[in-house]
Amino acid sequence: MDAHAYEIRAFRDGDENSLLRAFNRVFGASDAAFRPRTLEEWNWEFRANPAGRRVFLALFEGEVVAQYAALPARVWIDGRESTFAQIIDSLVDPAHRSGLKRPGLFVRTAWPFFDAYGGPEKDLVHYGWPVASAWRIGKTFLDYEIVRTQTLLGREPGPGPAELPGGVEVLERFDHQARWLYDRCAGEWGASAIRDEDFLNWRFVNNPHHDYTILAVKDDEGIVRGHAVYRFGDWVMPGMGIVCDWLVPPDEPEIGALLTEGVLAQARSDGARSVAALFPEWSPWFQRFQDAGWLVRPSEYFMVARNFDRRFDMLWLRDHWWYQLADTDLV
Amino acid sequence: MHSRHFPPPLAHPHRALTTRPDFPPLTIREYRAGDEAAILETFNEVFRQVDPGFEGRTMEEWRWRYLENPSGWRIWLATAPDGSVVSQYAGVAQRVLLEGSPAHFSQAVDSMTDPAWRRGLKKPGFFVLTGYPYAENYGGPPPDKDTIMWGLPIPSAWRIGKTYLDYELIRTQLKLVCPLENLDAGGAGGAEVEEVECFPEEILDLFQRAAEPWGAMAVRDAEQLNWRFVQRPGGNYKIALVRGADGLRGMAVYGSGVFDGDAGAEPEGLVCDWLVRPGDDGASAALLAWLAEVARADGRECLTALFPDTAPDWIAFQEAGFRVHPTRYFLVGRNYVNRYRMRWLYQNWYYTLGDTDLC
Repeated sequence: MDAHAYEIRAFRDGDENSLLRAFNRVFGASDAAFRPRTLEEWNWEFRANPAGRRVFLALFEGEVVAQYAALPARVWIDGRESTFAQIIDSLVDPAHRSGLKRPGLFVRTAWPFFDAYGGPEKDLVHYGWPVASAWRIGKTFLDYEIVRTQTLLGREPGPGPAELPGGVEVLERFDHQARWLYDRCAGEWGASAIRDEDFLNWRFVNNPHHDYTILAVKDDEGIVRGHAVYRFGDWVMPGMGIVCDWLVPPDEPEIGALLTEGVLAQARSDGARSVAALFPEWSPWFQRFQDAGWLVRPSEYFMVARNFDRRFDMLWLRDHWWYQLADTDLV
Repeated sequence: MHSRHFPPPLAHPHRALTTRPDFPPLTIREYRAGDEAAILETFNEVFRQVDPGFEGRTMEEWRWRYLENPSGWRIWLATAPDGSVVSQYAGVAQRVLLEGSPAHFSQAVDSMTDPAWRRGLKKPGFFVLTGYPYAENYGGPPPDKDTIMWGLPIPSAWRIGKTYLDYELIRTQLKLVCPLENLDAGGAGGAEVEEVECFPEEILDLFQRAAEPWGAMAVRDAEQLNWRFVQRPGGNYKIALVRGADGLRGMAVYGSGVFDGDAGAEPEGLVCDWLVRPGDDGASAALLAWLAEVARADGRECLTALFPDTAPDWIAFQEAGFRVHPTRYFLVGRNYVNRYRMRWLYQNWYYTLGDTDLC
């Protein structure tokens, strides 16, 4: 196959149906439990994201046969706003995987993607949690590097109340206070995705894949002092509670302790057999959760990235970038 | 065997290295008997410049580390016509049990370039030009070649290594730390600890049992362990064994030092080595209690251990009161057999602090 037989370009309105057919064909063939993606789900992921869209496609005879895509997020980094983007949903139709000499269509679709979106004044970092085959190709051709091998904190809910403790309440959705809370936390972090009303409601409240529970602690004046976004479901273990997002000022351990009790109570209420959370190891929460009985366990995941500004290399990201499971599409 | 991505040998490496016409011709070659004085002179000069408190390595230490290692030595040098050592790429060899068969790994250590020779150098510099033949000569399939080369590099060596020498990250290395007052070793069930001066031959049987669940583990026989902990010049380790009716059940090595702190940091008690039969909780409890006891007697306030996070000990130590903390270190490797990629090593290789040169 000649590379010129493929049209490789950014997504255009009207591509979505062909893209969805390719997505469902490729992932449906490799996963018996796969549930075809709907247009509504695709629209949420790529059209409704308040930070925009990153999609490059390869088309053969007018049909999508490969995609390299990412979910951008506004980040606060080194005192200014910029963007990172999480690589997801990359695909190559099996019928087109061996048609080209190395590098194949995956790489040839990714190269212009990086040219279009990566740079010191564009996305500073592209990141993801690749499967082994994508990692091998990515490190060889796409400058993927490992930020860290990822640990998770986990514990059993254990005995205790199944009702939320006093002071912890469930929010229906986020409001403008989310940004206030984020600003109180972000000063300690070198880089982090901006958690504001738009991002959090898009990520959790409007998410068509899963239902989330937003646990919050408010003070006497109704100001949100901390939140934990929780989900019950199957992830690394079946029937587990998952702390998808955690936003509590590092110097307010008492708020964190209350929210942790809320998470455990919710997990008991759901009948969860275990609960998991993720923190950078340098975070005070990494220690505090251990002090509260959570054990640090290895995972199959490793955070991979490519930086487009030399200052923000993998070691810098390891030591300065705050991220949560919310910053991934894993939960 | 030729490794991947190697450029052809340089006929005149000195000309390729520099734009300065006053550079004398240099030779890049393997260590030869008699080089040690020149190696040490450069080593001590280089490390004294980056660490004013550096006390200097003695010839006795150097000979122990390289020539007396039962697993062998790995050294490539760039030398000047007067015999002085300009640069070194070196490693500590390890005999390894790799999926039940003998093999070798090596840990890259002590790499250096005399700063006086860095000026005017073209990229990639001596570090890489000594690293190429080092990898070419020592890396390869088991049993005789080093199937894996690994290390815990400083950031500058990591940046060069990943660009030119195929270094890849195996693991973000975390450590386990326990204030002594928080330790709950658990019940020893009658297991008794015996403190010994050196390792007995029967340690090999314990190693073989302990290695069974693992794809790769450095050989812990009496010869290797006595070299590592008993014969080390200036070494001050304490060794404990737990015996059972059918042989050794476990061993631990205690040391004291600054594993991961800044210069001047308070020394801590270090779990330098740890080997217990899988599932022998009684032996583990007895050895943990012994470690705490010697650390306390040594005036230390906490114990620090290092394991792969995939090891059962990783969880068991947390359950005994240890907490996981970040370190400055990250474990990197380079494989010479496709099967043993970094993810395989992440999942299947057991090591402790004693495998490294950090204690």
